[in-house]
Amino acid sequence: MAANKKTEQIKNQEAISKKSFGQIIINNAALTALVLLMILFTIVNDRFLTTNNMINILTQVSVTAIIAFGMTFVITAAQIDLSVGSILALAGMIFMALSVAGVPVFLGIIITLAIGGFIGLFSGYLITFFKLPSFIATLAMMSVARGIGLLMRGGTTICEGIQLSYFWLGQSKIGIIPLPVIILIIIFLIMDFVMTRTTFGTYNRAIGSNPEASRLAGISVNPMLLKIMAISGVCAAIAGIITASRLGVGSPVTGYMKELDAITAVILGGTAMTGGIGTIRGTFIGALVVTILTNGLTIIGVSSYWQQILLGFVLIGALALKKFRK
Amino acid sequence: MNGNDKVILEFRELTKQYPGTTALQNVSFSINKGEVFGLVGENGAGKSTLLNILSGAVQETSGEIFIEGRKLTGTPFDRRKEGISMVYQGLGLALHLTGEENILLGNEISNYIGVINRKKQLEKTSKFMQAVGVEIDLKVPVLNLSADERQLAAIIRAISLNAKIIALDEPTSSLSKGEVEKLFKIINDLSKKGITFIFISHHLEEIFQISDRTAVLKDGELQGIKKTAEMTPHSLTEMMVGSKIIKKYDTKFANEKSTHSDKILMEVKNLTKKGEFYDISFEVYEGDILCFAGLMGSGRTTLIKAIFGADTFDEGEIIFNGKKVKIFSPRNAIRYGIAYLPEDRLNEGILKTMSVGENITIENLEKVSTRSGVINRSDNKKIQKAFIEEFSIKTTGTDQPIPALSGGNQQKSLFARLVNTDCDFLLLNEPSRGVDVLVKEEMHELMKKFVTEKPNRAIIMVSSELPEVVSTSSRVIVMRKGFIATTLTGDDIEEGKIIKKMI
Repeated sequence: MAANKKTEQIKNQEAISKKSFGQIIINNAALTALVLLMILFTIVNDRFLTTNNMINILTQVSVTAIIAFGMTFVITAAQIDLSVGSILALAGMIFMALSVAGVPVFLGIIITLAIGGFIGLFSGYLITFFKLPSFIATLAMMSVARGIGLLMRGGTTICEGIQLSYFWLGQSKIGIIPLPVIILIIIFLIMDFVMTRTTFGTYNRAIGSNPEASRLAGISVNPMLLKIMAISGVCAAIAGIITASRLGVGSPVTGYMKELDAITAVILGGTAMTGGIGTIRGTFIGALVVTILTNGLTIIGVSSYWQQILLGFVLIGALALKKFRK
Repeated sequence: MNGNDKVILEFRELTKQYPGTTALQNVSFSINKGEVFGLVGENGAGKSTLLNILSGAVQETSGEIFIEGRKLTGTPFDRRKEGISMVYQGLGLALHLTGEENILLGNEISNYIGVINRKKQLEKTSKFMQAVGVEIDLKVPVLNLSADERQLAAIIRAISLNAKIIALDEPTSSLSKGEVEKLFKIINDLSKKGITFIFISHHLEEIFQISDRTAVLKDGELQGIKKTAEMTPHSLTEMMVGSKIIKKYDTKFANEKSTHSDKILMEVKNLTKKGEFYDISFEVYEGDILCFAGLMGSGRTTLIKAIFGADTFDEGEIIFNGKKVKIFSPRNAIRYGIAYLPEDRLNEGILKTMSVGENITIENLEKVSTRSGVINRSDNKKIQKAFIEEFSIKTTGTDQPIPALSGGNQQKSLFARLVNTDCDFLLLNEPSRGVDVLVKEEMHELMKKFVTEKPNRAIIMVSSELPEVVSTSSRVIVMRKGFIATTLTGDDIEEGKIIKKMI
């Protein structure tokens, strides 16, 4: 009997060490995918691994990653935010409209971020007060925000009379590094710190893990959810400002399906759809994977329609991996 | 088995373990054909787990079930074909379908392209209805039926599936007295026709009225099986709340503390929540471990939650440390210095995705962080380590995920969480539920230490375990059906006296 137990124990240990290599790959799926994609695209096309293209990728990733950072808080709290793509477009429209109206750029940024935060807050209010599932509340806000953006100029873009200072944010560089990349890195550092080192980040994981247990432990669940949704709104607005500033126009049709990119990045990064587990670092890597996939496929000439199909399967794959995660 | 052809169902050494807790431990017993078999036990005793294993909804960790001598395996669907039917309160019926549709759900009478023959369906269901001996309207959605009619529809469905064994889980909880009588008559009639019933209820008088034999479960273990006729409410209750495994109390806390402080920490006046508890008044003194004893449904849990602000009350007031307080949320209660240990460790206590350490300090992170909310990690770790050591929590370290710990060590972590809040007033709901004997005693020691080591401290405890009540409490309030039945102090705190007031 005792001998049996011992062999069993040894077997278990063997199983643990045996599965470790495969498990490491699965547990770090995003990182593995990142490395594999880099190698693949470098071999297939010599235009991929160039300084220019790398900087290009980092600029592209800034928009997706910043949205995905906000989304990480949301999904870790066992919620979802589908409105981010629409908020991105609306924020871009508002930002440029403020420019046309002669508002100084600094104030323009503040107002735009406030509106993004307010939309997130409103979704949060629907979730906490009316007990709507976040899926439905933010689906509705997705439509509302997109609609307002389209309404502002009758569906057309804002491209005339924009102050030059409004382009600075998206188009200027420090050395060879574009400003959006610097903004991305600053936001990454702040968000990562908030998630890992503050009470806010810990409570975020706690309410995602078990809202009732959190409530009984004295955590104010609803105010937390409001703040989290507001953060997601602000992040989407930052992404909107960067996009509009880079393009030099406010366009109501930007950011379509951005929520898909962001959610894919978050899930690839190891955040649990069921809540309670989430890291900003993982999300950053996830966002890089999504962006490099798109960038590399574009370079080797795969059409954007195929890219969409592929991205859908990447999301499915990332979720399916959970079955093998330990 | 053993040549006894009357046995229809046999459980052999059934065990079910969940991570960190044992829901069923080596349970073996058998049920005879045509018997009405009562199954009782407090919340979390393992009744539901047993039924879920029987129905195939939950996989047993080890052990076997035999029906008429054959080993029972397979999915819930296979088991239904073997004649096992579950009738859950309010569950198991599609509320928007009619009685007829519900009864024949999955066995519709239809032609080859799936068009249902209503007429034949109604004829068939009416026949089953007559067999059971009741009259209900099968043409309206079951949503529109009364609670007892729904119950009967579920039973008719079971009969239509050729059920040999029907398990009724709390079948009477939403029925009126008359409806209960009607249900019992039908159960009796059917059992005479050879159908076996497993009857779960926390209304003991119903157990006495309907069941032939009764099994008592406690903490996942079988306490005993007796012919109901040979039992008294007193002996049954004793089996439910007493325990043979726990060490007999040689020291009673009430005796150790024969002189309690005169200082009143909390005064509860006329607290009422309609349908739950009525006119509850009591005082808690410094150094008290005041225990609420009572059976399930006596209102203890709602009361303690209402005091904590996790539930509401309609009338009455709470005076804490000399001031009238309005506690409107758990967070608010903790600010006042009142912390709460939930009874359901897995669903209300531990944060499953987090580490042992995080679980310990989560309730008072403010202590180790700056005003802007930045956590001082080394201070945080230091506290976590100190508690793991002080409470001898068996873990590989502060970073181990909490689900990997045994139930007892999870519970000690939760108690550490409370102590770390620096609250001087603790509300403990079933502090030693589902933990092993050793940890039980450790918990009791921790509780006693808590109230004695510093002034101005007290504990209110809800416990369904009489030896625990007797050995740890300084005073006992017995509740019955929402009212305070009696308050016991000193030498009066003994099992017999408590049981007498519980029933």
